[in-house]
Amino acid sequence: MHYKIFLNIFFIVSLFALQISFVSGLPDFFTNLNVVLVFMLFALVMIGLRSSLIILMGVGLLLDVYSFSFFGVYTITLVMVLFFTNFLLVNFFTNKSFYAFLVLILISTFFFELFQGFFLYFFSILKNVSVDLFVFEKLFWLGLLFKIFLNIFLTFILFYFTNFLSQKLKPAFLIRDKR
Amino acid sequence: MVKFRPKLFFIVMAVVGLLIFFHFLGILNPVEKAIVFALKPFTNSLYSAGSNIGRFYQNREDRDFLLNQVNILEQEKNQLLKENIQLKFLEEENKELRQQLNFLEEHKFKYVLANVVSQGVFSGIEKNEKMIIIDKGSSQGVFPGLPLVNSEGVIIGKVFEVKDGISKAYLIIDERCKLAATIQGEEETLGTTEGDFGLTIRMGFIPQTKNILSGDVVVTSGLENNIPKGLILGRVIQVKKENNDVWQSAVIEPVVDLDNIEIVSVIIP
Repeated sequence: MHYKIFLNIFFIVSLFALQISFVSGLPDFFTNLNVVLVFMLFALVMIGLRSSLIILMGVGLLLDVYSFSFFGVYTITLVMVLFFTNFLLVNFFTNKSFYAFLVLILISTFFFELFQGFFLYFFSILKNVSVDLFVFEKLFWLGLLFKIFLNIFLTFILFYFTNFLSQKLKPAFLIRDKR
Repeated sequence: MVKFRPKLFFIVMAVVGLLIFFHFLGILNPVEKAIVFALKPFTNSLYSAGSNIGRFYQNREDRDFLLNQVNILEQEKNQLLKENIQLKFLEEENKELRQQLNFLEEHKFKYVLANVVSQGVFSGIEKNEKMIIIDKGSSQGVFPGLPLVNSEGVIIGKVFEVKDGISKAYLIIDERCKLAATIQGEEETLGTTEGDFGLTIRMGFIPQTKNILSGDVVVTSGLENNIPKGLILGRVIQVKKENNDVWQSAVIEPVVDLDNIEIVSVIIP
């Protein structure tokens, strides 16, 4: 029991510090990486919804403590994306294959940026701050493309690494039986 | 049949809603303060690690670029000699500027040293946001409007929002960071600066009667509360002057690298 609590705290703090400090110090292009989302996907597959939820909520709350936007934006966005990704995983991507992972990270990155963008836009309006609707900004879509690319790349690497250590994932290429 | 667990989702959202409610009531303040304090060693060291990778990556790019330059310069020897003499002159001028810039000690400013814990992660939906988060906040006397300087007294940004233990500052190359500025040696404010596409600084509202040249050093004019006079912003690289315009403008290049800042000083009035 204590071991589980310690492990959860370790993952929460590590993920948070990695995302907010380490990734932000990297060269510009690499700051588009979202290690929290990639971890979320693997956690959903490896340890299930409830355990992932605890870690994601912890990370979300820490991000909100350090953020100067409306408190709760990151927690709400992460929780919504987690449930949505779990819904897709359980109903449409049950084989846990390599392709399933790549599609899921693409979808979850897209919806994370979209939800976050709408929440931040909505709260900017409430604060009477004039902001253009981000969906009409070219920079938003370009940034989203970079984020999807980097997250897919990290998922690719982690998939092979996890597959090497665990049997929970299907191999990358399904071998057809010779009959 | 499609599987979905609405009960768990609503319970979680209710818990999150409660936490948000407690935050706005201020009940969570001590917890947030404790979290920021406890996480400082992790955020500082990880940001430093990421920054070192960024610097290494930048140095490799610089090295490849310089090797290319050497190949070109080998063919243009006389031009190099001439440029070398000019560079030596700039080096002397730079050295003199740096000596002038034992700023914090000479001018006896009160300041708070702060570590940068994050750079631009929370950019969200705002365009070209160039901001940093430092590990000092209202508990250490920091409030919005205070200038951030590096170890040589060059202004690098302005504090915009504060919490108890952390603050958000926009860098001088961000369009939200506006400063009253002048040319070094001038007494009165000449214009205002703001960041331009996160790369350079644009100085506008300069009267047509003022003579500004490329190479002039731009400094803060002291017009704003809490921002001392004489903090260096950068050097003029281009002047835009049309005869039928009321104002002229200038493009200013920062004198420091704003990509890998780790330690800053916040000047306290």
